[in-house]
Amino acid sequence: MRHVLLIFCLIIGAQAVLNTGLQLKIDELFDTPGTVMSSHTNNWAVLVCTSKFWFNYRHVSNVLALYHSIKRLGVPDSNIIMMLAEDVPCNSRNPRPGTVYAARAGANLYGSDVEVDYRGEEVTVENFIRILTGRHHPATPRSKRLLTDHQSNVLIYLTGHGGDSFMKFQDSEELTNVDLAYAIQTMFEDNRYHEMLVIADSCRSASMYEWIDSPNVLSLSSSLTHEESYSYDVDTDIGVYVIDRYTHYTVNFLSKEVKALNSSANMQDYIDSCPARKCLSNTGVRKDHYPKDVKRVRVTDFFGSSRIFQHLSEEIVLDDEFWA
Amino acid sequence: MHFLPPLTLHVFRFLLKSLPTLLLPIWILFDVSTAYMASQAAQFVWKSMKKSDEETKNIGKLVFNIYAFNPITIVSTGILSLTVFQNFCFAAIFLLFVTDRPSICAILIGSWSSFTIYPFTLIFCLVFRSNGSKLKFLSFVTLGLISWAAFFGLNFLLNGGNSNFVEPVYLSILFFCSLKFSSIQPNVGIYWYFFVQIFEHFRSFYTNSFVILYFFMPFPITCMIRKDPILHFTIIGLLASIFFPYPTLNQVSLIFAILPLLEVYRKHFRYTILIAGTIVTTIMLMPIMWHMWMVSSSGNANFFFGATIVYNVALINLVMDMIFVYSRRQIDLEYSDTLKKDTKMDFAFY
Amino acid sequence: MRELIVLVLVALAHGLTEHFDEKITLAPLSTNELRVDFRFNSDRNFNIETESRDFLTFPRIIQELLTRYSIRKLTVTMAHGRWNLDEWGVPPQPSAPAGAQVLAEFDAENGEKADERMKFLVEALNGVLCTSISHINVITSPELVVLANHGEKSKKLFKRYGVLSGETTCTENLTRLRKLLACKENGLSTLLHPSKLYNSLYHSSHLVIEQKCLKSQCEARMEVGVSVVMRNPSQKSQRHWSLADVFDRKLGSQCKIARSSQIDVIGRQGEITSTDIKNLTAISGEEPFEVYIPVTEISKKESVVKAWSSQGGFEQKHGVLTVHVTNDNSDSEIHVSQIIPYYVHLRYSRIKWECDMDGVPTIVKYLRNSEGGEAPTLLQYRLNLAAGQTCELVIPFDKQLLRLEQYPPDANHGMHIPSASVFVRKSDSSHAYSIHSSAILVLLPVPDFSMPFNVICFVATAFALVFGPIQLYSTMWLAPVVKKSQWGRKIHRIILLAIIAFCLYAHMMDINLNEIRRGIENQLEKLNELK
Repeated sequence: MRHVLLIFCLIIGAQAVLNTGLQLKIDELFDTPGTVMSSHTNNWAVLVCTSKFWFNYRHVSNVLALYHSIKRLGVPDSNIIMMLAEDVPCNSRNPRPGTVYAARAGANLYGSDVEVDYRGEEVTVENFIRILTGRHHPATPRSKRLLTDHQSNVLIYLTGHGGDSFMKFQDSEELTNVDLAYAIQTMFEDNRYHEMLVIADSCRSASMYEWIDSPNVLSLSSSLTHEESYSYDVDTDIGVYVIDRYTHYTVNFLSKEVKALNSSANMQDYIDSCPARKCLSNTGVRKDHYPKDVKRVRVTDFFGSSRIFQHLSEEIVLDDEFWA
Repeated sequence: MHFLPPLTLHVFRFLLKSLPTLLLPIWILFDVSTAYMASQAAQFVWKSMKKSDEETKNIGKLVFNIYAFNPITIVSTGILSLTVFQNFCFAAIFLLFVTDRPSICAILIGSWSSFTIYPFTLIFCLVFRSNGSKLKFLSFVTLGLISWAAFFGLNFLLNGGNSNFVEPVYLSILFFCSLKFSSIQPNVGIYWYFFVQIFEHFRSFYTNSFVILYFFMPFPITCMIRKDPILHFTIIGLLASIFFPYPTLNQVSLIFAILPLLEVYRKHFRYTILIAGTIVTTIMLMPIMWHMWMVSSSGNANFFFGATIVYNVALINLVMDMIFVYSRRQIDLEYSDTLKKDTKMDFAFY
Repeated sequence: MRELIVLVLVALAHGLTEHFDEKITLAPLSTNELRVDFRFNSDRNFNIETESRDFLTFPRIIQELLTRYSIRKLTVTMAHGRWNLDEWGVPPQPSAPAGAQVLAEFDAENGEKADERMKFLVEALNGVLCTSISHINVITSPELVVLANHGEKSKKLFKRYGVLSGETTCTENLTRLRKLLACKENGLSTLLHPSKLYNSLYHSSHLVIEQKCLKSQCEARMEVGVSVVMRNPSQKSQRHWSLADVFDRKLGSQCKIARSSQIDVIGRQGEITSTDIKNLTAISGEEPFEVYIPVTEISKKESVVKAWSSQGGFEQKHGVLTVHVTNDNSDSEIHVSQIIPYYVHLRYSRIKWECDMDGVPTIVKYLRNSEGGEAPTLLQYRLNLAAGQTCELVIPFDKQLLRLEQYPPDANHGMHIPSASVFVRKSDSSHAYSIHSSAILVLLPVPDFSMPFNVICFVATAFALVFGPIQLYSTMWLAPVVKKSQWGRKIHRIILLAIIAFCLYAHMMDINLNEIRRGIENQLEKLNELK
């Protein structure tokens, strides 16, 4: 009888000890970002600059700066769909033709390794939705398609001029938040992504993810719905702003904290990387459709490509489509 | 008329090649004969209403003058506008209609419709010439269709057995291939700016509903206006002129010329001054707005569109007023014994 | 060196020969302008039956293009800037109009299949060259010669020609062209440095691919060319420019697999100093290899046929396009091709030629009318011009009001009419070349883009004005009544007024529809919580 009581007390005691939070710590120990393996195998990115005209230089450099960051972390060119609505580097107003700089003393972002997939008039709402949903004209080359599958982590980055519930494309049409949500829902139904990160860097950008209710989507924005977003730096030589604050701090974070693919920086660190005193606007986060704890998700799940290989047992014939 | 069938092209190629100096005289001849036919028709109407000889003469003169000295008609003749021929057809149909020659009238309506399908609604006027017999009316419709088909066949042969003219001439302004308005240029009509601005995915819906509305309208109007063929003809003619796909200002000249024939209704028209003033003002404004939009770039397309839409609304109001005066006059006739001249009345629909 | 041996061994095994030649021509045009022409040629002889998908130096993607679309010959050019015919002479061949140009000759079963094939080919080129030319104005089968390198006539092949004047060309296109070369990182291609090349007066690039088959033995060829005219390539020296000055970098390596790597420098009298760096040993030593280009005024300027386009008319409805062609000092046969896009309508009866001197020569005219909505029209003329004669092709046109979605994003900028292509063949010799006039920017009439809903409402209201009374009068009787108070009507009006007042208030206070929606949603959420 005594033994039974003893065991009972021990169990109660252990329960009490575990309930104090030790259990959580143990869980964390085995579940830190460095150790848990995300179940995706490939990474894709859609980087969109929606603004036309020379004075929107900063939107082009936003996209290019992010492009170089994710390329450094291993996402190959073939997995990045880049849309630039204005030809800024070879614009006749550019005093340094063929180059784009995101900072006065920075490096040229438009070196010879840049691949732009959609440019100029091809950057339309229709084409953007087609990329996401994968419904293209059959002639569309592979470099212009988002060939994701159920194991792909997708990063969608939108920059440009936005308003409450829309994003302006090319100064002539709008992508509404409902359009974006439907496109993502279609992707989900077609099993075209595993996890998705949507970033909108524009004024009132929190409204862009308002309607998204597909699972496994984490959404970030540079400002809340009633706020404007601000640019960071002006280059007096060329007379335009060269980068936006949110993207500047994003790229800064990636280059400082995420030096390599095995970095253990987590998404919460990234979300905190641009506080209101730096960004001059409150960044928006939407986690309710994202089941994981962002503290346990590595930044490189979205911004890098781990190139996880899988063994195939069956034989695969590569058809002409593959080589086109 | 924006797209023309091969027959017209052949005729005008011949005219341009062989008799280029005679072009203006031909146009003037057609214009004057239009006025003459209209005045003959007016005199005939007045005679059949047992008016005095002097009144008959006067109405003939009046109609002739209103048509022939209308500045828009004169200018249209001067610039060799094809609407002169349309008005000629219109006047001929009117003359045949009032002089009670329905079969020739049906043939003429059918052949005119082979150039552009819109005037075919005029065939409904022949209800008044069928003495209440449905069979007779249907035979007129068939006659119209046969003459339409004959002209179509002629066009087909002239085009070398190729039917590629069908799409631009008929289908581009009618159903299915979705009344594309594929190249719609600014005109004084009601459609042009609408089909420039409409969203692509709604285009076929709106084109189809507009066309269905247009071809459906004669049915209720014919049921409504059973006692006055002249008023009925005027209303149908005016609607055809308003909803023409590529109208010009000259399109309504003939209708304006035969308006004096509606003299019995004159006291019941409610918005005479308003409509007349609006039409005159908008016609004056149109070239100014055009200049501001196209030449000096000090205004945009909305200015010209504003003038045309107000012009069209004025014409539509004229049609509505005509329908009202008919009902109003029926009341007068019905209650003529109980109503005194100065009784103030209010109306309601039952 | 070992790779080379392996390559040769592989090649011998398959009966396959491939060659790669590179060449750069440096020609001073005046004391502060330098013309640079890069030419990279690749060819591949193979047996179509024993073809083994082995590629040594020839780019595989090009062979895929050639085979997949049964291309006999394809020319793609991209250019920016204006070639100064007066000062610079004959432009680099195939000559490039501003923007992008595609001329393809290929096999197909019939015309429709060929059109579809061209559509796919253009998209494939977008992928290969990183361009965005999907909206190119494609013309079916030009009758006359458009480009000098597509001179031969063959009836069996389908020809498709398209020009897109608004296309920009930038670093990404150059990168893709470089990727086609056998030597991407060494040899002359190291001098293809974007920032210097695009900081220039004029730059053009082209890709020409062709394939010829004799029975089963096939020969595929590719030429990649980049031409640049630089102003003040270097401030350092007044007597000569060095490669390092011009390209901002040194030629530090050789392309070992190339058959030849030639640097030609053109001197004052047109003499050519040629160096083959393939055989030099000192290229990567302490003293880097260097070439000096004399800074001179070229004394002997070749005479060249000149062409330019101009636009007349001051309003947004009508306009006149004039193509001026001036012959040089000997008789020549001239082919003029002008593409007219769908957004301007020609006045065919008023198109005419006007010439000075002996008047208008006999002109052979070809006209390919546009069929279907957005297909362009092609005007082609063949005429013989006497020495020094100037002729003008006058083309009056009506600008079209387009549908809202047919306008480009900034419609007020205008839309381009592509430049006319002028092919010149000398009567006395076989000398032939093509030039391009300038592209024209036409201002089209534009609707107001900001208010489609207003227009739709107004016109629909006008239709309702017709429909309403007709419906009313045809279904009801009009009858006289004694006046009564109508409460229902009044309430109805009050509600309408209230809605209008709210709309006005929202408008004045800048209240967004989405904010109103959010407010309602918040209220509903609160109600849910109350439960």
